[in-house]
Amino acid sequence: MPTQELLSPKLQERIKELMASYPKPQSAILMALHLIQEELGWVPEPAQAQVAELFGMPPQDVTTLVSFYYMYHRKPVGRYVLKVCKSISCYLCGSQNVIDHLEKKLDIKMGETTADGQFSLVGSECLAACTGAPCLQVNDRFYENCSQERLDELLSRLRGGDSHFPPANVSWQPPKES
Amino acid sequence: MLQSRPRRQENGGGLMSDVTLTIDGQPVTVAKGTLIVEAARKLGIEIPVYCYHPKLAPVGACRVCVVDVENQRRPIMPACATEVMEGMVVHTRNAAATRAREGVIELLLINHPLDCPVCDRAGECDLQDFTLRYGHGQSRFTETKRHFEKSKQIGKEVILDRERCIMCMRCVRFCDEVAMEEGLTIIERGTKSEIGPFPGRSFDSQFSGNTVEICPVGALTSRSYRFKSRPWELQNYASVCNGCATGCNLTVDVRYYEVARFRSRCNDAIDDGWLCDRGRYGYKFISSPERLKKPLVRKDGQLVEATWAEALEVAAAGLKKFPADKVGAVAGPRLSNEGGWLLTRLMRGLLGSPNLDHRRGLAFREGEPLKLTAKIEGLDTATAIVVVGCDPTRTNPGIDLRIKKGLRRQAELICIGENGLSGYADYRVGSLAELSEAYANLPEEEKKGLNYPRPRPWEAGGSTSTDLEKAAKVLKKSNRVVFVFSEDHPVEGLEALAEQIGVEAPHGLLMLVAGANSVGLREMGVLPVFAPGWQKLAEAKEAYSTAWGAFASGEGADYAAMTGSSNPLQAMVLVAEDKLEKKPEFLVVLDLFSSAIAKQADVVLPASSFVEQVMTMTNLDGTVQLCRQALPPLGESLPDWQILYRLAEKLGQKWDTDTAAKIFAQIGSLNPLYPAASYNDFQTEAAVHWSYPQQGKIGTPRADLSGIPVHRPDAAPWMGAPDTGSKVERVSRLLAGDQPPAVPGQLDPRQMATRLSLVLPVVQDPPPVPGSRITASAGPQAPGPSPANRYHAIGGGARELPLPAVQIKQTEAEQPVQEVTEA
Repeated sequence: MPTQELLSPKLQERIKELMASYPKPQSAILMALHLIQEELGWVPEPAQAQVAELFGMPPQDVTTLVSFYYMYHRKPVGRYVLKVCKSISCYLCGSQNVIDHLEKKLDIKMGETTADGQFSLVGSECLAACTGAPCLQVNDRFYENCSQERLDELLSRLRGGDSHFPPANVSWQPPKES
Repeated sequence: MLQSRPRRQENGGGLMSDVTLTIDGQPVTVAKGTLIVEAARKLGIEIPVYCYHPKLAPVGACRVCVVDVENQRRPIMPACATEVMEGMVVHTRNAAATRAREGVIELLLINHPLDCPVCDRAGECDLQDFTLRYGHGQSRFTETKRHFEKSKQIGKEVILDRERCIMCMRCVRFCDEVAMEEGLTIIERGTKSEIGPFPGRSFDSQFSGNTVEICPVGALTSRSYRFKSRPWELQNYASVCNGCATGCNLTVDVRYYEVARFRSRCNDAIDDGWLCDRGRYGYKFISSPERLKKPLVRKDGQLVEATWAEALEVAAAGLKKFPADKVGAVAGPRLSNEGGWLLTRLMRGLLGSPNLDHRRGLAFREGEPLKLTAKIEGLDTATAIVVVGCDPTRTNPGIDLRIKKGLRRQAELICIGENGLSGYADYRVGSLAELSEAYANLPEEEKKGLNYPRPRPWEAGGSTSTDLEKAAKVLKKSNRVVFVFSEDHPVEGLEALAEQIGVEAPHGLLMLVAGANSVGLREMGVLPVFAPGWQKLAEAKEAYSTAWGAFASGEGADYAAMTGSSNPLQAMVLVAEDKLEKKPEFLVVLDLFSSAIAKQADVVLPASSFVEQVMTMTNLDGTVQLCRQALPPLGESLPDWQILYRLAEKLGQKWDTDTAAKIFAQIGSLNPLYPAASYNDFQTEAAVHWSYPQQGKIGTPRADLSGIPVHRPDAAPWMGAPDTGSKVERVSRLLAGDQPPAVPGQLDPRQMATRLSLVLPVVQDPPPVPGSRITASAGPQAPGPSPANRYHAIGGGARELPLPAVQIKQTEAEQPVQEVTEA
């Protein structure tokens, strides 16, 4: 099967630079896949085959990586990927309620994307934000203490076009007790 | 990924220290670096394994091999991934080991479906066997098993059932480590893991059948064998693939007089336990309806069926009609050594004609003979492999895998010309002349090549270099260099370069020849200008005249002359050959199929295939191997040697070599390349390894190696019962737990009812003729056959053929030419 050219020349250049920066070029494969996902939004199979060719490895070895790490999307995803933590702290603090609420509000199931292409709902392992459990990530930005009200607020802000919400690198602080 | 997996340390042949340990109270001494599972096998202690395979690097994926090792922080250790240590005390059967193993099996069975009754592997399934032998018997798992689409075809020959997979990764590791090409991998992770090729692509490796064979469960099955048979219905016969001249060893599994499948029969010296798909699935021609079943004779311009006596009469009369120098014979590479020997005798001894050649007989025979010192095994230990103007991937896939094995160890690959291994080449150079020159120009003290580790060409970031000087340096590393070349493309200066390097057996020149028995036929003297064993005609005349009565020692017409358009001959015998531009006045054809040439022939004699007779072949590195008879000849067909024997009879000579064994013994007494050869050499092993002259040339006698026993490793547990016997032992263990196995070849009385209800012929050696009477005896102290336990072997399904009883007591090799019964 001829490999479809999915990776832009610029992206290929960046991947080659990455390869050169490791003692063993194949060490760069995970970073290269992140770059691809950054550009395409997901890692389609032709892109896997093409990156395998760049690295000189059999294509199935890339598939095994992409499918092993859940941070790579093997299907197209929405503009906002909501990654709900399902690990122990969040679970004890009610992550199932978060999932149920989001499934109801977005009218999709876990792993699905809304028809308008705005939201995808996926699960995640521990996000290391247990102080703010239950937490989730919007793409790579944190959103913590997800009560129903806060979830509604999140959805309405995102729907309203506030694409910078929640702000990056700012962890939510609990209101100070007066 | 190739680099990242652990590799087993290859022992380089140097001095190795031994380690003594105790397993289940028995002391054993093994080489350092041995795995516990291998040490236990040496003692005959079974440790169940799934992911472990002796030809693959250990991975420790399935954990079923857990054993209890004393004085360890974590006493339960995987025997397949733990190297032995001095003074180690291992328990495989104590309470801790048993409990751990039961737990592992319980976990392995969590998702495994209970579909043994419809699973192809049932009866030879390691999961089934070990569950019965070591399993707990009860599962605490009550949840739903995971479900996948049953039987998904993932390649031309391979069907995958993901539900049955236990994730041992044998197939994945085979593609990665052995075939080193695109293949299967694990997709997803944890409980969702599944095996598959790259999404959307087909698993079409030419070695794909090996993954089916090494799969310990029924996850990978082959399309050809699927639902065809149960393993306990099969009779197993040791044989040799005749697809190409590599001579990979295989087991012919026969069910009701039909070949059900070929399996690999590991021979470390030749095939290393692998087969290519062309060989593995290339058995369908044997039962093809197109096969010739009766002799044909031309009457009034039409080929019509005739009796053997009639056809042989016509053939003999036709050959007698013409002067000896106008009669000739051509053999194709399928012909056995025995057939080739009798063909030479027929032509030179009986008809007095020197016109005989093998299809590729004189290719590469101009001038001085080559020193072909390389053995296939030599590729393992080579430091440099040079593939010169040939493509082993296409012509000899077994050699392709062997070269890759060499590359994984220490060899560097230099490719001259484009071939299937180009992508693995460390260096690619334009021609051998350039390489020789660069080698000659290297400074004398330059002894070292380039040092690894650095990425090899097939690894990420690796690449092929075209640096001629560096390539030449690789040849300087040591004299363990193998040049792989083809007889079709003679290469100037190859021998000279090999001589400069100072190659010694088992390294040196490895010539890929076309056709399974090309080497053997040449050595049998199917040549116009040489006597058998590459002897000079004049020198050999005396010995052969004495033995055969006469010997035409002239030089005759060669293949090109005989099959060309200016064919001077008037009568010809064509054996397994389908090229002939000008038909002589009288033509006799011996073949399996009616080729275009056979359609023009005056007499067509149906020959038997290699599984229907006992015969020997000589492979490309000079190893002589025996194919055992697995089937009775199809229809009225006969082995080539029998046809030639009978033809000689009609021509007025009754030869004393009326069995294959006698022919081979005569070869042993006359042919200097086969000193004292005898079928007895094959008694214990199916393959006998004679060597090409260790030093010296073709044409000089080999060292007398005839009596040397052949070392072959014991059959691995997953390879089943010994190939020469039946599956009785395995079945009895399966059904009767740990009771002692039945005596091979005899039915276990406990199993009798079960077995006979399957209308199963008792193991008979050679295979009984359909309808013949066979005897089932009830164990070692059986009182002898009684009417109650006599059964008919049933051929072709559930029909009983009322044929007279045939005594089949002799070993197949001693089966004499039987009288032809007139219809």
